[in-house]
Amino acid sequence: MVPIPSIPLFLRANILRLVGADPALALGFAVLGLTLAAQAGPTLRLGLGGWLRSLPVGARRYRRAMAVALLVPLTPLLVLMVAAAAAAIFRYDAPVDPLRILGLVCSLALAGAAGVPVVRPWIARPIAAAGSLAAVTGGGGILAGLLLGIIWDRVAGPVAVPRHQAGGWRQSPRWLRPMIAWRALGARVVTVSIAPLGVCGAAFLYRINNRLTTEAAGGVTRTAVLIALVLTFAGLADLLIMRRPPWPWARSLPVGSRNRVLDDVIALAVPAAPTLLVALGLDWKALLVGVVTLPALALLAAGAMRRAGGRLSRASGEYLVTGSSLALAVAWRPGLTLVALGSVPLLWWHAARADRRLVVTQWQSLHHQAGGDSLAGEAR
Amino acid sequence: MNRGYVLSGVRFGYHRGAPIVASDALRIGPGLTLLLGPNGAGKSTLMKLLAGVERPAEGTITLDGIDLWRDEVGSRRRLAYVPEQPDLTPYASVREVIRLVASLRAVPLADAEAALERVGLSAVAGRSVRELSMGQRRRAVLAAAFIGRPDTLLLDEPLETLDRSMRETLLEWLSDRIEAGATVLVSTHEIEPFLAQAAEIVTVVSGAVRSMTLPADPEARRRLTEEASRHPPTPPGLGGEAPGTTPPRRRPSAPSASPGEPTGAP
Repeated sequence: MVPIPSIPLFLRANILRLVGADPALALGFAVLGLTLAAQAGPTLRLGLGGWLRSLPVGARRYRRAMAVALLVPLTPLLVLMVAAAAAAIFRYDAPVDPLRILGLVCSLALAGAAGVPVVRPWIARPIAAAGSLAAVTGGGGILAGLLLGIIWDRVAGPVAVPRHQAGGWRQSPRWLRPMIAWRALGARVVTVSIAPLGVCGAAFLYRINNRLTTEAAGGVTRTAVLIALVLTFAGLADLLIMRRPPWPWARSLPVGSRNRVLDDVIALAVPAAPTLLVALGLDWKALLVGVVTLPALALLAAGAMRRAGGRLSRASGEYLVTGSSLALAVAWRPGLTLVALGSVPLLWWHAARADRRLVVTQWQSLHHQAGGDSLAGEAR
Repeated sequence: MNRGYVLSGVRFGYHRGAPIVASDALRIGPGLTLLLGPNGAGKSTLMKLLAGVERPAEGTITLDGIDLWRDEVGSRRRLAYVPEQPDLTPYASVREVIRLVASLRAVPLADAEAALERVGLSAVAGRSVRELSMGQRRRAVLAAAFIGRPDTLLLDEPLETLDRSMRETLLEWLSDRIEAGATVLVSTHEIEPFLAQAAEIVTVVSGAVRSMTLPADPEARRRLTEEASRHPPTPPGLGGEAPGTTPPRRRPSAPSASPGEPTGAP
């Protein structure tokens, strides 16, 4: 086993790596910047759309303004970088490479450019992303990054009009309702899966680095798989609240609250497949426990989504308590899997009751995102 | 079986203790009923309650004898609701939504295409609602209402943003449905196109819901509806507030049933 360093030592090492000569952490910093900018780009396009487009601003200036505006969601990274540099200078009395700091700033600016949804993303995004990654290496990398930034400005074209995923799917209307949830989630499912897969990976490392009895190894895997499922559902539930608020008009259609809950359970369960596949690689018994407990965990998440209302903690606040309690109980005593399975009708009824009690046309400013709201009439 | 809506002791508000709609007893029977009242009175909220979009905090709403929240599927099977805001998900194309409605109302999917053709949206049916104009969005919701010959229709400002030909199509369809014995509730500030066929009016004043039968005389009908939409008759028990003032939120008492007088008890 590799000993875990103490937290102050860990912090110091990584701060010095970030502002020092080691490029590995700086590249990770750039990747984080690119990910954040890619997430924020479509939302920013919505916010800067509408009436603002009637102002006398050309397409190129508008795109550049969006790239600059994307530095706002990247501010936490800028603050982190400044704090790391300050800590290195004043606390650890270590040298700071100014070119590295300049490179990190350039990298974030180019990450912003890569996050702008433009009409030629297949060429513009790789160029800006390559510039962002090059810039963090400092020196010649900064020059290369700036050059790639200029090329991006030439080839990107105007900001693209959003193309909604519509029309291409020719399946039965029965699947439209969960499909709406999956379309709302989109590629964000990948980001939600990172933490759960990390938990499974940690369990794997723990198992191979320790001499555990069969029983103890099984317990570790069960815990990891079930907690991974809870983390998956918590992330998905929060995303769904934001990106797919309740669809009020659909409640006038002949679909009961139990079916609406079932749709959400299906929508939550399918993205959990990678976690279950990893579980299969770890221990088939843990997979079995995970599959049998999954309906109860998904129903708890579906219920929490309906009770999230104006809570700052969204659905995950409640769900991390209830879901983790169930997951840990089942992991501790696998026999409780049958209790979890037996509680499915009760949990379904409870979630359906929460669905009926929803006030769906009430303004929820805390969780509102016009892009997914059927009542956001002018959003495009 | 009671055809139409029956509301008993209904209370609903967006915040606890502040009801937007209150109705002790109300019946809306087959035929055309106009829902009238000043802006912000609670008409659209009442529509949402009747459509099963929102659930009353207290009381029950039955449609054709079926409780809206005890048998959610059964009560909504032949209900069509056209909201004021064309409320369609941005994550599906118009065709997908209309096909979904057809499948839920258990009618052939070909009916969905026919409805799209009828409202002139066939060419753009593969697009998301976000790519359509406001008028087209309203047409899309109307297409959903046309599917499956529903016998309960709730239309919230149905003529708004529609062009002349679409208005005519809508009014013809409404006439057909009324003749077929459907229960039709129309919330509108444009009374004229509906006046000849209206049998009753329902007024909402600061959340208090009243109904009254319209007299046969055309001039009397016109006068009554115009008065009701400007400043609806004050229900007994709420006092004689001047126009523009907000009456206290009290439970209205049951009205009488003669023409021109408020009615309510089923």
